[in-house]
Amino acid sequence: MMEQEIWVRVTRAAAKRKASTAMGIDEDRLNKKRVFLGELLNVSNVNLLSNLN
Amino acid sequence: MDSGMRATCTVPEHFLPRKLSKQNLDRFIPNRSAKDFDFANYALTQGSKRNLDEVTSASRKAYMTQLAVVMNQNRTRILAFRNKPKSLLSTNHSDSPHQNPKPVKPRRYIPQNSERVLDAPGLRDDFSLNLLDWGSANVLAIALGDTVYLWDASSGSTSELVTIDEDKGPVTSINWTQDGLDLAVGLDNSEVQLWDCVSNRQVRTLRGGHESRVGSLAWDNHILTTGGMDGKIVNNDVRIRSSIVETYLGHTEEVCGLKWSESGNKQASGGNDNVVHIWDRSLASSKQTRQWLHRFEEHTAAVRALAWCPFQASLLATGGGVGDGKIKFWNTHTGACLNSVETGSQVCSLLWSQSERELLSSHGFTQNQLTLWKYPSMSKMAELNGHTSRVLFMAQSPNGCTVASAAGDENLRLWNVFGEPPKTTKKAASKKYPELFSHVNSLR
Repeated sequence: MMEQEIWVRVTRAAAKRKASTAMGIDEDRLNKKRVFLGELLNVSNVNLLSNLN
Repeated sequence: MDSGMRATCTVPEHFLPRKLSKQNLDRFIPNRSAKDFDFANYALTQGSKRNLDEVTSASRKAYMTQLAVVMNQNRTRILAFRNKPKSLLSTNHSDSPHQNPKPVKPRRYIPQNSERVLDAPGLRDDFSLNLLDWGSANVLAIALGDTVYLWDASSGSTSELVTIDEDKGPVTSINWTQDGLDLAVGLDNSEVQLWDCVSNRQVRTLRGGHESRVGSLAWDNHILTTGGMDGKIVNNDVRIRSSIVETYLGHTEEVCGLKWSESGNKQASGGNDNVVHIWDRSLASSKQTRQWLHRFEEHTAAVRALAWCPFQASLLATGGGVGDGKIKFWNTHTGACLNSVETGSQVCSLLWSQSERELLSSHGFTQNQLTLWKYPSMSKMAELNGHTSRVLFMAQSPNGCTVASAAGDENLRLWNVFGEPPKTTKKAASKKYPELFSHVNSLR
């Protein structure tokens, strides 16, 4: 039962996303866009952080 | 110093060795005839170099020691004062073979770092879902939110298969057919969609089997087994219009893991109710609910990690979640628990090696590591770190060498953990599965 995570749809965030799209705000300027299944180049940083733990 | 000690020696006459007439009576003058000039020369010139050499293994050290004893090279003194009787070489030589340790098989190098890291934004951290699968056509499918992406491992290119409507989504499970050409997509609204990934066209939608989301899928040729949040397990024959052929009832909570055995006559299911069921299809008849073959209640947490052993029929490995943390091995023929290993953390996924007797497990808090075990001794061969949250999903490449892992840190990592392709790859590649939707009209 501890593994069970109830997925709750965040409608407020969805509404916010729609509003920002309607206002025509360019998302690229707000935050850096992540590429789906894009290669992450800072592999060494991740490993270094992992080693610190 | 040694000569000085001898001068003060008061040993009685009868203990001393018998003096020969030819023997040099003065013990302080070196006996030239007893001196080994070759060894003296070696000791003065090359002997010190040998000490600098690193002896890498214990067996080599033992061998060098034995060799030095037999060849009378273990002394440090150069000058000799009396003749020594020679040691019996045959006696020492006969002891040598028995003392030699067994040669150890050289351990294969396992890279500790992942060879690639791909970004997986929106990957859901849900223990009951199955969002990653690597098909036999070398295409990796991953569900990120409402969208299913296909990553061609041969070319490294990414494409989008489908984005599900918000009222039906998000995607809760995916599973490739055995030919690697079609993908089953389980949804939050209890439907299952079947997609032809060559033409990127939806072939079918399965409805009516479940009342809530479908978190687990497993193919066996034309039978697609679905596991749902309602605890039901449904066998669908996708060639038939009315596809439901069996429904298994037994889990009281969500089905987290679902796996067909390699022979195809047994199914393993793991649930959020901490229970593992073994189902036998040959006992089932059409349109009826059936009793399980075995029921395992020894895990004390949810079971989503299930893996049928590829080299020993009827052997199943299961992993328990938080509060259990054990890997258990079952004889699914007799129902006996053969072994239980404490791993120290939540077991999220399990994969057997296709070439060696090894098992790979993925874990959660605190290390979020992948652990490679030697079977059946269950000694740790490697621990692979890099993920910063629990590693829920693992998938194995068609050649069996690479493992993809995905975690709630929204990273997809590729590990070269199982080594080089085995010699039987050619034989394995020749194995063909019948095309599932060959009867469906297609531009394929």
